[in-house]
Amino acid sequence: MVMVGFAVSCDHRSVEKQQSVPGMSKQTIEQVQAKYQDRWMRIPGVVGVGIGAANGKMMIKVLVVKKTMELEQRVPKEAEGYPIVIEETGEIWALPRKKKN
Amino acid sequence: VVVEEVGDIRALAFTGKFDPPNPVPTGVSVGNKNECAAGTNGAVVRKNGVSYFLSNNHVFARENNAVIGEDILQPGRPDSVPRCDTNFPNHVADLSEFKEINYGFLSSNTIDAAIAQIQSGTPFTCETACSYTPSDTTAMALVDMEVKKCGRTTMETTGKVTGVNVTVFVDYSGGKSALFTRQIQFSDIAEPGDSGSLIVTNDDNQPMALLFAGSAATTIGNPINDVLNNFNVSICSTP
Repeated sequence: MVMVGFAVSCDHRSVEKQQSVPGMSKQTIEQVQAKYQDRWMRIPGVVGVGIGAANGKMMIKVLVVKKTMELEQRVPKEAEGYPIVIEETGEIWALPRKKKN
Repeated sequence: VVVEEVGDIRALAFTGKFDPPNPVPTGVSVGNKNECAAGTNGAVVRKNGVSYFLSNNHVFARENNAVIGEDILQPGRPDSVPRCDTNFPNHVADLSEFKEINYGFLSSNTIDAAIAQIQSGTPFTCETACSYTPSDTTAMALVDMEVKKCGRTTMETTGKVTGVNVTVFVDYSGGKSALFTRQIQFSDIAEPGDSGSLIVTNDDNQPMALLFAGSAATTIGNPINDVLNNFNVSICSTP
């Protein structure tokens, strides 16, 4: 229960101040992914969630069939300090039936 | 004219259409006798002194529909002459084990894999048709690592890791979809028919993933250690 309390307080904005709270360490990107990915995978048009990097910075990637305005609004820009990037992959097929556009 | 003919012959020889390679290397066309579809034999794997070709369930085991012992052909039937030949001249292995694919959104998978015991009369080599042999040390995927693969359709291609710990929905035939977790995402390094290729590190050939899915923009592979542990096999690393 104590951990839940910490997690909730981490959701607030001033991350630096929060990090000085004894016993609260920043969650790993894998933990943040695990916490939210079911929610994101349920958004229509989302086909995957993973971890990538750009310019040496880790980020969460949300893979989508097509990058639309609606998805850009529904997928948050960040989660608990980690940036989230939408990547248009198209549908993923077991390869004999992969379709090129 | 000469240049055109050479290019054509190279591509055909790779899949073994007219002149099946002897010995059979890895990274070439294979398929199940009971369908006209082709994938790739990514590697030779071994346990208890027995050698097997490694590929996907959807290449060797017809997406769960196969019976153990079904014939594996090299090349796969789309690459035989005539196309989709039913004489099955190149029976090289027999389906031994496959990991069942769990369809639907409520269960998840980590591998799409199968192994087929190489027939005693089939000469083979653990070297790829791209003239390299996988290392016996596997590699953990890290974003931006450079990789390559040797496959039936696009032969040797290079790319890099673009995502790790990926959870992804993958479409199969008949409108079925399966959820995969802990997958490795790569830049687009494959086309249909490359399924089953072994993805290795570009500089030292360390096995990283079993290629099985993709789109026009990306390629997805299973973590190779999950594949090897599932069948309790090791990759043959001597040519």
